[in-house]
Amino acid sequence: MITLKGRAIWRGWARGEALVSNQPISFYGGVDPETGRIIEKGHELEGRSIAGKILVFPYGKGSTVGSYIILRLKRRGIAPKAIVNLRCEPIIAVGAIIDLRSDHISS
Amino acid sequence: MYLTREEERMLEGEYGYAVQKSMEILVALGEIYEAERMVEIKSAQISGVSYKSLGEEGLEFIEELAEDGRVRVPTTLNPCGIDLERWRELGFPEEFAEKQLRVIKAYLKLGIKQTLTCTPYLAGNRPRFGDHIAWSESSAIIYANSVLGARTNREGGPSALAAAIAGRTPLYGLHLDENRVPGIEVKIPKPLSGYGYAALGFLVGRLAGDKIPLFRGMKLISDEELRLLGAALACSGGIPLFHIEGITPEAKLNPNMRASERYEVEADEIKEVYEELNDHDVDPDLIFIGCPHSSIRELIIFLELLEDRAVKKKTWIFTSRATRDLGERLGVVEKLERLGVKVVCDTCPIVAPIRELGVRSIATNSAKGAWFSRNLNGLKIRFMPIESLVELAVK
Repeated sequence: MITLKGRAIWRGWARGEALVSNQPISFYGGVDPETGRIIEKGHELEGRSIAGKILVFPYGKGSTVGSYIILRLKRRGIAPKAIVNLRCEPIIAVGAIIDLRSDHISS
Repeated sequence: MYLTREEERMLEGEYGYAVQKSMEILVALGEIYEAERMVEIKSAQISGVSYKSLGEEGLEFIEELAEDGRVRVPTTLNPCGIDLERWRELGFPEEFAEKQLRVIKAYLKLGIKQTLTCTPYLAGNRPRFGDHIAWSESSAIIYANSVLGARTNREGGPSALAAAIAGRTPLYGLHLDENRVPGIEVKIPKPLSGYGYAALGFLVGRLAGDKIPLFRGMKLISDEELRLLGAALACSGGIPLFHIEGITPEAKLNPNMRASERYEVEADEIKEVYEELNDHDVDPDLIFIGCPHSSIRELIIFLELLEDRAVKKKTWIFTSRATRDLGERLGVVEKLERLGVKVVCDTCPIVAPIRELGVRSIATNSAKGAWFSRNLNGLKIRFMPIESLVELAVK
């Protein structure tokens, strides 16, 4: 059992299986909004589904359209239950906040 | 972060759902970046307009905001996925066009102007020096910061929209003097022109990391070249601001501007960019300029280079409706179209459903246009000067 203490960016709580990567994730172009799978070529999580997971990775990268991809995943019910980042940046943070039916996110 | 009484009321929902949601986003960003307070903005530019990037869920989100939301400052829109007037003629899919029109309707309901361009500063949204603004669209951000001396962080579509609805943005990053100083000086080997600046931007974007570049020893650079340079810097490096000694306003204001780190670009490095952005044995399906959207001057240059020869390949110039209207009045558009060139508005080669239009390979003078065509749309690419594009088009 590992305990991580962080700063909450958005309210909520979740329980689930952790999916961990040491590589940053680009939601735009890197995650398929239809299936919730990582599709970035050569990514260590390529082909894995992030749906319902506690997704742990260092930080988001790529286009800011990524926020809308997180929203799309959420509304389709295939978003991660929570996201834990080393460094919080706006793409991921905004993606987590913009939906009404929000989960939680911490860094 | 400090909020005024008014801002607290906005956050508590007294002004409705759209204002509250917007403030939630802005306060969260302010907390992440440890902003002291909010600052009122003069304008906003919104990306995330194409249905291709928003999808059904993004469209719903905008429609929900539009139920009780309205922007508080002049706000303009990035290109969408279709030419609003000619999408049928140009072969855009019907179903996509319908969704796209719904997105635009929702933005209009929010009080946003239907400029549909990545060059809002050529279409009535031109910030003044020192203005605080909240812009998305990386090529517009870098132009506003660098060439106009306005102040914006690298906003995304949702945060720029939130700022427009709330009329404010958290005060941090590039809104503050201390974060606008250069971190690396760049010297170029010899004077460049046109697409050479696009290649330079692509190269420097990569090597500068998160440092703001200061170009030294550049003499003349046109507004069009500043845009190609900026778009490429933002594309390869996510750079939101650059300075050019003696040319850009903040560098002019401070002639002693220097950075501790220096980099001298070799001619070979520029050549490597040309090679990297050129796939071999490609006979492009589509030749285009206009990433960022072409100015009236580029329309005229393209027409002059054609020397009355008709194009034999699909050749499109992407521009804003505002610039096309001007071109129509000057007779430039009619002449271009008579020679077979389509002057396409409201959309761009990156956000249009370009594969559905049957395009598999392109040629352009924009490093950004080339890179996204390959990496986002999966196309084969050629990157070449405008003169060569014209020759390729008429061959």
